[in-house]
Amino acid sequence: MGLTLKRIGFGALALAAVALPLRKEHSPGTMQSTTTPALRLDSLYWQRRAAHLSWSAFDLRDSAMRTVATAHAGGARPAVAFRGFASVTSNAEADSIITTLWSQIGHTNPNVTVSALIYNTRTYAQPSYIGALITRHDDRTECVAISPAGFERNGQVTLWRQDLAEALAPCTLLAMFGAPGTGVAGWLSATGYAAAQSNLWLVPRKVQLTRGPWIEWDETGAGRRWPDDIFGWMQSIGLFELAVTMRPPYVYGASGLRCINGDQAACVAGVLHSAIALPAADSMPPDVTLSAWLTHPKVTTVATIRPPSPEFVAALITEFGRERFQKFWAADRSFEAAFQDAFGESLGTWTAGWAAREWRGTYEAQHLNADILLGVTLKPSWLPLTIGWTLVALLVAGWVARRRTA
Amino acid sequence: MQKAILRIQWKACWHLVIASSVAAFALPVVSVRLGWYSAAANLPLFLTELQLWGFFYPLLAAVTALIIALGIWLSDRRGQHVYALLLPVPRSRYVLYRYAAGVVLLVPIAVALWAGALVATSGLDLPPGIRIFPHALALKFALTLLLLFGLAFALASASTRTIGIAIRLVGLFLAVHVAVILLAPHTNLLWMTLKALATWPGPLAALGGRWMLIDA
Amino acid sequence: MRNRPLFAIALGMLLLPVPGAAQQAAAWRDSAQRLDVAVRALRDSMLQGDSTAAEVARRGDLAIAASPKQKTNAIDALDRFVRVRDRWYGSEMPSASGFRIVLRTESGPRSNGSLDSAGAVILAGLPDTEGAMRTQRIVSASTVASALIDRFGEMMIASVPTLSAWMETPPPLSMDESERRDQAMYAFVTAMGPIERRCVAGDVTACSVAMRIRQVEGAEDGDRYSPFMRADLLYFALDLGGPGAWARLRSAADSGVGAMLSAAARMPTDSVLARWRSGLLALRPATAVITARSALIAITWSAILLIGALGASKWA
Repeated sequence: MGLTLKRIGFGALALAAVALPLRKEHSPGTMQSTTTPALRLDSLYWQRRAAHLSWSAFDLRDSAMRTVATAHAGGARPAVAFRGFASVTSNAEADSIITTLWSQIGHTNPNVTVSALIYNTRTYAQPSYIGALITRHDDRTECVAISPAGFERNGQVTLWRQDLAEALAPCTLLAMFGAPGTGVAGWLSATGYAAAQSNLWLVPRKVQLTRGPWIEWDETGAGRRWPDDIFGWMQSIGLFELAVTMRPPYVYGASGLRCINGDQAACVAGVLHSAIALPAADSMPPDVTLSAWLTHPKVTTVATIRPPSPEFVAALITEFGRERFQKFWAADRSFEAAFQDAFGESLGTWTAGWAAREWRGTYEAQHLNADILLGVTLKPSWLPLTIGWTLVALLVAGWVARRRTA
Repeated sequence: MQKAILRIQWKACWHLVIASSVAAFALPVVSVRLGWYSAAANLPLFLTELQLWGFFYPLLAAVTALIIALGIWLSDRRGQHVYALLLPVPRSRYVLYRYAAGVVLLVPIAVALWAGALVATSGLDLPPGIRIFPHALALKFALTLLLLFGLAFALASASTRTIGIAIRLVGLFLAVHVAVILLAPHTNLLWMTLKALATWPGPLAALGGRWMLIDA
Repeated sequence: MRNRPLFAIALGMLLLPVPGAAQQAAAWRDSAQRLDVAVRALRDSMLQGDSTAAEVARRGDLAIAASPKQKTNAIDALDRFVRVRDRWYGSEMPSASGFRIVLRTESGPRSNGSLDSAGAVILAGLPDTEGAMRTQRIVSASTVASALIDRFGEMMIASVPTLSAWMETPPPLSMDESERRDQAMYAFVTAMGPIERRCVAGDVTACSVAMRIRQVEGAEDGDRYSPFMRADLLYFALDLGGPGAWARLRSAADSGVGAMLSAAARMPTDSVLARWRSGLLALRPATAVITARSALIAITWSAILLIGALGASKWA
């Protein structure tokens, strides 16, 4: 009877241990502000930001079109125009950036005209457009890099080097390799040149850390929420933070993570079928380049396919050289076929290797956790491991039994 | 003989097997259903919580392995192994019978976890690109359970004296570790030992990695 | 110009108005301006505070109002605010018209979904008139005091544009001073850049470069202390200068960061840096890893564990 009671007691304890977590007294609190004016203010901020971006993009496009008229085709270096700065006609920083890039390019394509438009950031007073205007007429291509600068009280123009360099990136490609063939051109238009905004093929990076292979898009759920209360004790001892540190970088999306782990189909999807959402033609001029944060889809989840980083094209040139890249760039074939033809390996194969290398070069991989483990970790070596240790355990138990005496 | 031992062990441990099976079935169900209602709002957070639930799988395997192993040897221990010594079988074969019967008792627990994983993920409206891993999870759990059961079985088969010596050796190791770390803070013997146990070919290697029922 | 006719046509085409694009730019500009007005109006209305908030306490030129559930919280926060403000800024304000900080409190993660802690706390630096500096935030109820102090610190720094540009990010005014100094000490002695190492070694010029007070040709871009370290230097200078330090700093606003720190501390900039450097170095732990006490503890515990491991019965 006593033994039965003990067993029933044990069973009840086990059931209670299982059932306790199912008890829900309340729903978890939400971090999101619950005040209506705050929500409305958030919404207005976003609308204002979008309106300023659209205004600056259309306005600067007009200015850029006027700049094109004064540029010289296939010139030794691009002309630089200033807008919003009284009596400013040159800037040493801008000249230095352009000189560095053009000295690396060498001989430029005679059918491509490149110029730069540097505007006063105060004109729009909000985040404003940075990128390039790219137009084609017959066999001529014009590229105008559009970049902001500040104006100091002493009359100096303060340029943000990185902005101008990134705005010039598509132009340097065009200046070197000319107009792209149909496959590449279609891909560039569909992605707003998002993966072609780096000059690393001309000027190698100074620091060893990489940006990561994919654009980092955060979730855009209906609202954030706090972790479930059941993990309160885990938070208090830092275990939750440890889990956050050890988890895969979900900002790369499921497809991006699988590509890093070698799934070639996922790599191809990331390059060719990402969820880049080009703005409507009435909110952004169709002939300007777009950065990844301007092409962020409205709803982003872990399942959303992220596009490759702005350094994707630069990485191709660095790895395969200008000659082979020229062949790929100018081919009038589909993107994948042109890729295979020019580089001798499939898009999926190369991208998987590139993504893994880029990931390993990030700060997170080098200082936090380099392994991207998805799902359940099962290694083939664990079966012989299990069998081996089981045999060891049985040998020990058998040896103990043999030595036993009454 | 095998059937007889199995019957005896079932009589001794059925309540443990039932309790462990219920826990194994409930764990994946609870881990998914508790947070799924708001997963759409923040999938990475839900997946992080699932990652934390993953700590409970090896824990459940360890507890189950230990209690089953102890339960198996309990009757022999009580009787000072007299019954075992009287049996007309070689002792090593007797140990094998015990072990095999114990493995049979583990089967319903592993199956319960598999069933729980299938139930937890059935009918979920998964976003495209998110995958479920009920079979892999069940297989990993079964492997871990088998591995830990073997170790617990060897431990439980030892005599009280042997276990006492083992505990004292562990205590001695901890004493040395404390002394060393106070005198040389960069030398962490405990960490080094745990690392050796938890990476291949250590016995705890299979407990590592992720235990994600749902993931990217 | 080899192709004059073509150029002339192109120029003509490009100089002609591009009606579609120009109209779109104008339409978006109008939309942006309308939204600017709407945002300002909504912010102003939110900055008026909460209609349920009533004044609960005054301390000199400071008045605090709170909704009923935040009354006690507000009074405690005001007392702490006054202590911190007097310590670093005396009776100074970010503008002659005063300031206003509106905090809306909301339920935090452990409040079981209730709204017990929802409400508002409004701190006004009188006269709080038309030109007053204003800001508002949404915080959890337990952080009201820190939030008031930090917002005030931000406004004070923002009121001196040169200082604001130098600081880059808001200083941690609510942070415990000893904790701030400890963190600054750790960052100071563990920095790896060549200029930072020279500063640690005693080169005060290197310190001024590392703190972005002085510019030097050829210095590596990344070889600078963080904004947190600059905040520590600022507070150190204010501390050195004693009463009126902030007012002196602001009066030297047009002369650069070095002059401001010098005016605040009432000594040359290099002297401030030298003292700041030696102050941080003095905070380093002086004790050796092994002391007689720690050795004795180690031996005692080892003996206890050893006796337990061998079995007490053996000694019986």
